[in-house]
Amino acid sequence: MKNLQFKEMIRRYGILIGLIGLITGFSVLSERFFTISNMLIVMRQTSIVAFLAVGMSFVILGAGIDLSVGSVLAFSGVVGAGVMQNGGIFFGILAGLALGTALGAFSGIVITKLKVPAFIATLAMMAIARGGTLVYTDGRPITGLPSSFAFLGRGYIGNVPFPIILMLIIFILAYIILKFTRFGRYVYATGGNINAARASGIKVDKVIISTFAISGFFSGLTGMVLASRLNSAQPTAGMGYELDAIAAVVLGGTSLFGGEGELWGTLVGALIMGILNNGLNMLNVSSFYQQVAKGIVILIAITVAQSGKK
Amino acid sequence: MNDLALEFVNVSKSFPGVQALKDVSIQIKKADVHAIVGENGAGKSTLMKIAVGELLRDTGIIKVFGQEAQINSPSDGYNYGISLIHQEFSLVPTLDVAQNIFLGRELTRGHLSFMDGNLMYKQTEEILDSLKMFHLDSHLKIRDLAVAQKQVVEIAKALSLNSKIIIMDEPTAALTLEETSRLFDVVRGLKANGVTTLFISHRIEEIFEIADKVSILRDGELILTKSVAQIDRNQVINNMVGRSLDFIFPPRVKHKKESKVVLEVKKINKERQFSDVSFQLKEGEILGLAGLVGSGLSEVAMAIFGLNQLDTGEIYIEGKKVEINSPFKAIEYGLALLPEDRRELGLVIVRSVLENLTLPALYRDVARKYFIDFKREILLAREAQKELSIRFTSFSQKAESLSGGNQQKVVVGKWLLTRPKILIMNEPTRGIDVGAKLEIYKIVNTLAQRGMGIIFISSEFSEILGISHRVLVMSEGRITTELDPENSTEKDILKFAIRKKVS
Repeated sequence: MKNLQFKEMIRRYGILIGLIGLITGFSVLSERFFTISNMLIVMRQTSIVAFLAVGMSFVILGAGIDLSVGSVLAFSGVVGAGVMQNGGIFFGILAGLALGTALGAFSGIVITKLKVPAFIATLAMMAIARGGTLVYTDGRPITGLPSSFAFLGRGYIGNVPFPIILMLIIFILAYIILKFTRFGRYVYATGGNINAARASGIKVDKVIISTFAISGFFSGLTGMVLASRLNSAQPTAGMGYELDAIAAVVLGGTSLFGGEGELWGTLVGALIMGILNNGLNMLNVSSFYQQVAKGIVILIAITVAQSGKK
Repeated sequence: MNDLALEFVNVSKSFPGVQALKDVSIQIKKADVHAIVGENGAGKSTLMKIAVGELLRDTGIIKVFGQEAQINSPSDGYNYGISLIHQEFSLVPTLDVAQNIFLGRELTRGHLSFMDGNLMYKQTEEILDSLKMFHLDSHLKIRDLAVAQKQVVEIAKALSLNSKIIIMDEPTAALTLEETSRLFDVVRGLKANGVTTLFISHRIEEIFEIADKVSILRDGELILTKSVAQIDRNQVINNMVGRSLDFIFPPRVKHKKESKVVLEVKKINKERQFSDVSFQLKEGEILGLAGLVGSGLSEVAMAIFGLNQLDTGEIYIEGKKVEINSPFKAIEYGLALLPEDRRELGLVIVRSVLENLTLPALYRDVARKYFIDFKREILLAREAQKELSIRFTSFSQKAESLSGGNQQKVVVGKWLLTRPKILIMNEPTRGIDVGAKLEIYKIVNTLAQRGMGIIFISSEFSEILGISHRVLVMSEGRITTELDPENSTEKDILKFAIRKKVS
C-alpha cells in the first residue's frame, strides 16, 4: 500500500521534482543562472511554447494530436501583420486570432465529420498553412508594423515582461475552463472514452472541434506575440514548434491516449524545456548537443512516468 | 489400447465470484465429432480454453491420447496437437490466406533464411485441396473473404499445424444455412481422416446433424454425456436448462395493466440486424426481452437510444412520435441505456467515480450555464450512492478500480440522476457476482414501483422469468413470441430463442 502511494506520488509529482532538480543543477554549474533577471528571460522564452502547449493540452486530453500549430502560428502571424499594416493593431490581432481559430476548427471538422485521423488531418494542415504563409508573403517577412504593437511581445508591466503575464493569465483561464466548466469535463470524458461519452449524451464532435479550435486560437495568439517580439512576421516562424508543444504536454504527465492529465503539468513541462535551453546555453553547450540533451530528458521523464503507472 | 483422443478428469476453474467449472470429466473418442452444449455462462468456452491452455485450470487433469498432458500456457495446446477456433477469428485481415496460415512460423530456405513464398503457397494449396474447400485461393486477402471462408482458413491453419483435435467455438453462429452445411461437409472430411472435432453450439438441430456424442454443461457442471442416438431434442433442452433456479428473486412487484404506455416501437427495421420489431412499454412495467447472443436485442436497444440509425419504423414516447438520432436526443426524451459492455459504452474508466456518476446529468442539472455547481454535484452523487449502496472509498477514485457490481451500479446511478422515464437495461447482470445480481434485481423492482418503464434484456432466461411482468423472445432479429413469465419455463423461452431450421 505504502509502495503504491509512493509510486502514485512519483507519477503525479515526479515532473516537479525533475524541474527542481534541473534548476538546482544549473544553479550549481553557473552562478548567473538562478538570478531574477535570468529567470524572467527563461519564462519569456518559455511563454511561446507554453501558449501552444495550452492549446495542445486541450487537444491531447481529448485524445487528439495537433501537428499544425507551428504552421498555423506562421500563417496567422503573417496575415495578422498584413492586416495590421493598413487596418491597425486591433483588426490585425483580431485577424490573426480569427484565422488561427478557423484553421483549427477546420482540422476538427475534417477529423470528426470526414473521420480522418487527427495525425493525418493536422499533418495536412501543417503543409497547407505553411504553404499559405509562403504564398501570402512571397517568402519575405512582413515588416513596418505599428510601434505600439511592440508591447505584446516586448513590453513590460513593472519589471515583468508582458508575455509572462499573458502566459500566467492564459494558464489560469485554461485551468478554470478544464476544472470548473462543463466543457472541460466533457473534454476529459471524450478523451477518456469517446463511445461512453457519446452514449452519455455528450455531443462529442462539437467537443473535439472545439479543442482543435482552441489549439488554433492559441497558435494565432503565439503568431502575433512572436511577430511583435521580432517586429516582423516571418514566414518561417514556428518551424518545429509543434514538437516542443507536444513534448511539454507529455512531459507534464498528460496521457497521449487522452482523458488523463493536468494543466499545471503542462506548465512545468514547458518550463523544463525552456530551462534546458537556457541552462545549456549558459554552459556553452553547442546547440547540436542541446537537441540530444532535450531528447534524452524527454525519454527519461516518460520512462519514469511509465514505471510509476505499473 | 486406448481410443480416447482427449480426456478431462475432474477439471475445476473459478473466477472471482463465480465457480465456472466444477469437477468436469469428459471422455472424447478418437475421430468423433463431440458436441458440447449449454446455456450462456454454462462453462463451455471456459472448458475449451482450458483444453488449449488459454486459461489455466485450478485443479484436474487433461489427457491427450491417453497421456497426461502439461497444458499450462497458450502454446501448449498446439504442441499437443489441439487447436481452438474462436468465434472471433485470429486472422490478420490485410494478409492473404497463405500468409495467415504460416504466420509466425514462415517457411524459409537457404542460409540467409529468406521466406520461401512458393513453398508456403504450395503447401497451402495442398491443404485447401485435401479438404475440397470452396472457392478459396491461397492468395486471397482475409478481409475479402466471407465469414464461412475465414472459418475454413482457421481450419486449414489448424491442419497445417498437424492438429489431431480441433475445437470449434460456435462455428455456425454467423453462417447461412448453406454455408453451415458446407462446413459440416468439411467436418465429416476431417473425421474421415481421423481428426477429432469438439463442436460447441447453441443450435440443437445441428448437434443431431453432425455430432456422434453430446455433453451437456450447466452452471459449470457436467450434466451428462451421451451418444446422440440415445437422446432426443427435448431431453437436450431439459438438461441444458435444468429445473432449479440458482437463487431466489425478490418478490415480483405488481403492475397495473391499465397504466399508460410510455414507449411504443412500431415496425422498426435495420438491415442485417433486426426486422419488424414492434412492442409497447407501460409505466411501471418490467418488459423482459430474451434471446441468445446474436439475436438482435442489443442492436434494438442501441437503435432506440439513438446509437444506431433505423432504416424504417417509428418510435413514440408517451404517445408522441419522436425522431431519435443521438443519445443526446434520447436523454431529452427521458430514455436511459445501461449498455451491454459497460467498459466500452458505460463508463469512462480512467475518470473518477464522481465524474462518471454526474456525466449525463451535467448538461441539465448539475451545471449552471457553463460552470459546474460542485455542491450540487456532490449532493446528487451522494443521492445515487445511498440509493444504490455503491461501495467505494472516495469519489475521486477511478472507476476502473471498482468491482464489476459496483461499476454497474455507477452506470445505473448516472442514469437515475437524469430522472429517466424509460430505462433500457442490456445484460445488466453480466459478469457480476451473485450478491450484486440480487441487488440489481431489487433496484429494478424499486424503480418499476416508482413508475419507471424498464426494458430488461438478457440471455439468462432464469432472470428474465424471475423479474419481468411480460416477456418477448427474439431470434434472428425478429420477435418470435410473447410469454407470460408466471406460466412459462426457460424451456419455453429457449424453444423460441433457438433458430428454427427453415429455409
